[in-house]
Amino acid sequence: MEKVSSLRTKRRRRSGSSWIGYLFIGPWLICFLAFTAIPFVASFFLSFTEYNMLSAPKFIGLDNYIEMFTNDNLFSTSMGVTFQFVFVSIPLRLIFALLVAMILNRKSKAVPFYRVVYYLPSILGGSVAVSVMWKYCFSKTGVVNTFLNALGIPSDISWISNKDTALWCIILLFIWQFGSPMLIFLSGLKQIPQSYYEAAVVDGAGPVKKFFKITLPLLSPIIFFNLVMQMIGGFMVFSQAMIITDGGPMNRTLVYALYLYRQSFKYYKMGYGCAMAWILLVIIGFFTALVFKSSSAWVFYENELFEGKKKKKRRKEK
Amino acid sequence: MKKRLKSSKAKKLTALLLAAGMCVSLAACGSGTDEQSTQENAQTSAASTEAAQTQTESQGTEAAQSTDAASDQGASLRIAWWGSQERHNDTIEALDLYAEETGSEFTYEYTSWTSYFENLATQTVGGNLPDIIQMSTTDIINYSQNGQIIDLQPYVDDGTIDVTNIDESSLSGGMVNGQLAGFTTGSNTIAVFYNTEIFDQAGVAYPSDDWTWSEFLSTAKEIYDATGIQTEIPFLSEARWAVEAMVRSMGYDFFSEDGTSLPWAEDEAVVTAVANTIQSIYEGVQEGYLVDPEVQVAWSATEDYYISQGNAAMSLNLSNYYTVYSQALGQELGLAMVPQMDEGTQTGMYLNPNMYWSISANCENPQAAAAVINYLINDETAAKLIGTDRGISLSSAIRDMMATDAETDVYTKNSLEYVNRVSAVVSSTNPADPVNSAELISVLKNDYVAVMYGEMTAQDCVADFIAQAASILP
Repeated sequence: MEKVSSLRTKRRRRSGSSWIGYLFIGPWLICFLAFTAIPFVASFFLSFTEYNMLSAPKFIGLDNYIEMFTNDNLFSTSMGVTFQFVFVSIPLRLIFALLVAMILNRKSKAVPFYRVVYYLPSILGGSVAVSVMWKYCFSKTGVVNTFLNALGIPSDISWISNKDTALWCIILLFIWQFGSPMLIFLSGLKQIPQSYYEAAVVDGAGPVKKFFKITLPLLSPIIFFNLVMQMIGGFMVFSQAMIITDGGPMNRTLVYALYLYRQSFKYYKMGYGCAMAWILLVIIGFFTALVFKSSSAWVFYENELFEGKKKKKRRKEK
Repeated sequence: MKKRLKSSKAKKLTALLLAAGMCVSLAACGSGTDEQSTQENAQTSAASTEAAQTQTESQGTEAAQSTDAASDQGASLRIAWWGSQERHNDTIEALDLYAEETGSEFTYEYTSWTSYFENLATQTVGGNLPDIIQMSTTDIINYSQNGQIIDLQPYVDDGTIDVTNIDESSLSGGMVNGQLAGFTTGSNTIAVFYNTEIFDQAGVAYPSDDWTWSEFLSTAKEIYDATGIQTEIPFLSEARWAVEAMVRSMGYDFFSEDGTSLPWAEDEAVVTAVANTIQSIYEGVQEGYLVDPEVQVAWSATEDYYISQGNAAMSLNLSNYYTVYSQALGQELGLAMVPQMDEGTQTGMYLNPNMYWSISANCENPQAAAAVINYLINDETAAKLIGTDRGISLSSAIRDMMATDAETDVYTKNSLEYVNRVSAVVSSTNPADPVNSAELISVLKNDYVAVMYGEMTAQDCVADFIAQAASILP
């Protein structure tokens, strides 16, 4: 903290008119304070209260947290559903994004067009309209069943209200929105020098070997980044579950954020909802930390390579 | 040198400020046109949108000037409701007429059901509640207990809201802790809609009002055997209506008067009877004469329901849906009362306040707001425009007017006649639901669906509901 403030004074002395800087970031800063920082702090305090939003919050200590872990079946149900969702959909989404990125990573005039086409679902996918469309596609009389029947596969189940398939409909919608990780993968792929592949071909490597020995290691920082970002997004999945199934059937798609929303806004238990939000933060923090910790084992940075060489060189010089 | 630098800096600064100013004004223009276009959308598009739309209707400059005087005439009021696009259109039309007559000015804040109470709660936190609020039976207690809506009794007493044509007992539905927290917009009740054509085709007699659950199921089976047409699962989307009718048929209220317990849960005979009835409904699902729950649970729009497609013989519903389903089907559906328990001693039917009009505590001119409620309740023009969309009117004068008016469609006349039939056999109106009832009712709904899916036994369903009630109710 001290370091930051000393930096700030130094900069001020140098330019003398830092307020122009603040003017420029002003709109962002105001929004950040109003919609992120203040609610963030407020929700922490509210998590220790009983708060129905219609009257003043009442301090109740840790009761919300105790209730959650001792007396709320739906809390653990929603947690289970969310874990299932995250651990299935995130790997599949990343694999799919990488696959499409590799297909698009070639020199062709059609590539920009396809890039846009494949990115479209992630723009559309977050919208309410697509979720509603999904609901009708996967209903009993929907286009999915029509298509399957046309292919000769008899199917008349209602995918979104079958207890075993409902969550998969939402997972599928989530995977379908692979656009942004795909674009990041694509730019990562473009940075891998062609010479490595050429050298590998000379050494007689096939496409599989090239993928596992060159592409994957050199792409690992990008995979790492995508994994962290997608995981955070995955834990917070809400609108798809709310619109397509509304948590049903029998809470099979009651994701954590949806239950949090119901507690806060439908049951007038905002304090409890805030406490749930903080537990979610802890969970996301835990898994992010886990990924970061494990990254030293599998994430490979190119500069490590050169640093390693330099060290070796130095050692040799000695 | 230094001076020149400074002045050039100043020039740059003014240029920057000017540019910033232009940006702001441009943005203002942009948002202005945006608002206009949303207004137009709200009026033209038939599809109801998720987002809240705010629309201000100013009644010319004359009216706008007169708002300064804080008299009843020319008050400026915000009024909020949820509903379908038809309700939005009809309500706006009725209120616009009132605004023209009295020189009032209204701001309409209407949304779909999904986001309505979320918006209201947020507005409460901001101390910014609308003046007149459409309230639901499950939510009113929260707003009343926390002093967010006011007691309407003084405005009834001083005659602002005219109750000469209204039965005193039907107002009790809006009472919370001895206060008239909401003025009931209309009565509502549960009903069996049946397709007379399908009954005729199967050669099965129409249901009578005093039939039992086992008669209901055997009728459904008979029709299915004869025609292959199924019956909808009773109240799959809100099991509370089914279970409440069951316990009432055995002489109990659903919630205790103080809202802290389920009075029927103590009586072993009732608990067993309810579980058995639910079990027999599930057997109907297994045998196939009731609709597959996986199909029915996914219905949301009117057109999804088999009854409105002519693909179901019977459907249990709230009576205010009668017109919509009949219209969708294009033919008059029959109306019968919800069955009694086989072991029951009386009808399980009851009248329910459909919803309420309430006045918020931060309303600056409650007198004027009460006058608007009076208009919506007692005025013939308003009643004709809004119809039975908010329930069957409490006012006998309005009911008579609608029953005899040539313009009233046959569906409305049928539902009026049905509610009259029901009110002849039941005496009181259900009170508002207790605190935390929303959470508890969703437990029952989930468990009931689980029974129909074959994931839970009927006994466990009832036992779980009773156990959860003990921990959820205050």
